Amino acid sequence: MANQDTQLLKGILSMLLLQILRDDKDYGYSLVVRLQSAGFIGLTEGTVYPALSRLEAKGWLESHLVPSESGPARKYYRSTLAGSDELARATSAWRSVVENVDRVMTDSELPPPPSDPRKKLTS
Amino acid sequence: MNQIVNLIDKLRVRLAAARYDVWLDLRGVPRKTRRDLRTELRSNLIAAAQAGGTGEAIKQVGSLRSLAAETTRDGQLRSRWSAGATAGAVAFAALLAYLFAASLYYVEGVLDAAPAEPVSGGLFPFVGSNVTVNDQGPAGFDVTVQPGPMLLILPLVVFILVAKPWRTTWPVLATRATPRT
Repeated sequence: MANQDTQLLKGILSMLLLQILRDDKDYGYSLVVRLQSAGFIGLTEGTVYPALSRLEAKGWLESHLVPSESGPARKYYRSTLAGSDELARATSAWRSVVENVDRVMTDSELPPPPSDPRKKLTS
Repeated sequence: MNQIVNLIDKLRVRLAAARYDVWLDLRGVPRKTRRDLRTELRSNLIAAAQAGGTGEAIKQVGSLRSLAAETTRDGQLRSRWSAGATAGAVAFAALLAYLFAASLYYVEGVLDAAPAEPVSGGLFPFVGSNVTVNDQGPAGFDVTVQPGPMLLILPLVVFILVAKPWRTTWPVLATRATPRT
C-alpha cells in the first residue's frame, strides 16, 4: 500500500482503532505495529498516539496501566460502550462511502448526463 | 523484542519525553495530564526501542512538537490571566512587606551607628533601590526609600510565568507544525 493518502488514513484511523480495541486491549506501540502489519505502512506513531488520546478524551476508549519489566507501566486501551456505538456509526458511514465510490468508479449505475447541460442550468 | 535498551537509550528516551513535556506545557496541558502522556510516550518508545533500536523509535515518532499539537488538537489553550494577576499581586505585596522590613532593619542599623553625615545604600534584591537615612540626633531622623524598578519587574515576571500569555498566540504558531503520517 505505497503512497497511501494521508488524509484518508487519518479519516479512518479512529474507526480502525475502535475496531481493533473492540475485543482486545492493547497499547500504543503495539497498535502501530499491528496496523502497519495490516498494510497501513504509512501510519506512524506520531499519528496513532494522538488519535488514542483523542478517542479516550471523547470517552470512546478507556485505559489502564499495566506494569512493565522494561520500563514505565504501559497504558492499555480498550473500547467503551460509547466507542462501540461510534464504531457502528463509523462503519456504516464507511460502507456507504465505499458503495458510493464503487458506484462512481464502475460507472455502471450512474444516471446519464442531461442532453443539454446549459439548458438544464438556465431553467 | 530482541534489542537491549541500555542506560544511554533510556536517557535518550527520557530526553525525548522531556521535550514532549515542554511542548505540551506550552500548549497549556495540565501537569497531571502531561505526566501521564509523558509516561505513555516513554513506555511506547522503550517498546519500540526493544524492537528496532532507540534511534529508530524516536525517529518514527517524528516531531515532538507536532505530536503535542496533534494530541491537543481538540483542546483549548487559554491564558490564565486572573491567576497571573493574583500571583502578581501577591508577589507585589510580599515584596512590599519585605522592602518595608528591610528598610526598617537598615534604618535601625544606621541609627545605632549614629553617623554625622546622611547614609545611603541599596537593598537586596531591589537593584537600583536607595535608602537614605539622615540622623539628626535629638531632633529625630529623616528616611527616604526609593524601591527601584525591581519592585515592579519581579511581580511582572511572576504574572507572566503564571498567566502564560503565549498560550493565546500558540494555536497560530502550532498550525505551522505539520505532523507526519
